[in-house]
Amino acid sequence: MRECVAGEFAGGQEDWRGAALLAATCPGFSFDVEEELVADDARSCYNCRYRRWTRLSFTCMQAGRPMPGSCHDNLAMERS
Amino acid sequence: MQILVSIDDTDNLDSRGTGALASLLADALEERSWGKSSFVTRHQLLLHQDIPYTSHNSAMCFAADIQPHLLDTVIEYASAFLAGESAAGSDPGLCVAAIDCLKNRNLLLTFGNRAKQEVVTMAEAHAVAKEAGCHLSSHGGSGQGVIGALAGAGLRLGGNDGRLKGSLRMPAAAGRVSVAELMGCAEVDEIRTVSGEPLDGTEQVRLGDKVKTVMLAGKSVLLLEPVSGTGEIRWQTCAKQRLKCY
Repeated sequence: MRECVAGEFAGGQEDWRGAALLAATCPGFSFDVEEELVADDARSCYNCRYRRWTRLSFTCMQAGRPMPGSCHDNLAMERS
Repeated sequence: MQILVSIDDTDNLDSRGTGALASLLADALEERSWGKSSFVTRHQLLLHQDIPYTSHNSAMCFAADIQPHLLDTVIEYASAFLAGESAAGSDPGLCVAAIDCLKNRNLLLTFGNRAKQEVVTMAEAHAVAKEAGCHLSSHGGSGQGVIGALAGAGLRLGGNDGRLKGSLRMPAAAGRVSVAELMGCAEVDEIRTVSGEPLDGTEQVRLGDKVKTVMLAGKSVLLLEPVSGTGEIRWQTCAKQRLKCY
């Protein structure tokens, strides 16, 4: 698990399970357009139109929905 | 005359995607009997904090075969289309490259590859377009979309980048189909394993959901990966996650 840049998902771009877990409880999830869907779990932050890719991960652009790295670090610890 | 039509930065967070506009443009060329359009490809460009993309920084491109005297007509139509259909707050760019009329093909190819690896400027894009001999124009906002539009054309010209928009509509009995049957799909030019080997037509393939092809050597290529275990079916279509890198 790399160190999380402020506001970025700590799992990076290929934490498929983590991104699906996050999206499962997100009230703002909305599918991106077909050509931008990359995760096989349909409901995944990686498939959300409010996901903004960064060099190593993504940020969430939902208004009022910050992504504290600590949440995702906790998720990662639960899975490890 | 073979042309490439590439667009970028036509959307916002809540609008339809740039791919949808590319498909509409490709359809419009055919509806007006201006030419025959090919598939739309998506090209991932650099993700970097200094690049003001909406969410994914990808350009969309399609090829078309038109009559040479219609080139200006197509450019005018596409320009008006982008100006009218792009989302509020977007910065749409349009590139139209007539392949056989390019003055410097390598410049366009190089620019496409550069835009995947480094931050490039609008000024550079316009300079490359002028020297390469292709149309490049902005149609609203900051004009930033010209970078992706030009890069998309360069990457499509190179023929080894991107995923095709959409997925195969392939009815299959019990989720399986032969390689020969898959080759019968209009959207499939070639079938290979992920390691690059061709497969015999009799091989059975397990079909996943939303089967997609990628662009390799200028073709729409269906990649197959091995099925784990020792069952009768040895190959399967790639999961989305496997194709993310294309």
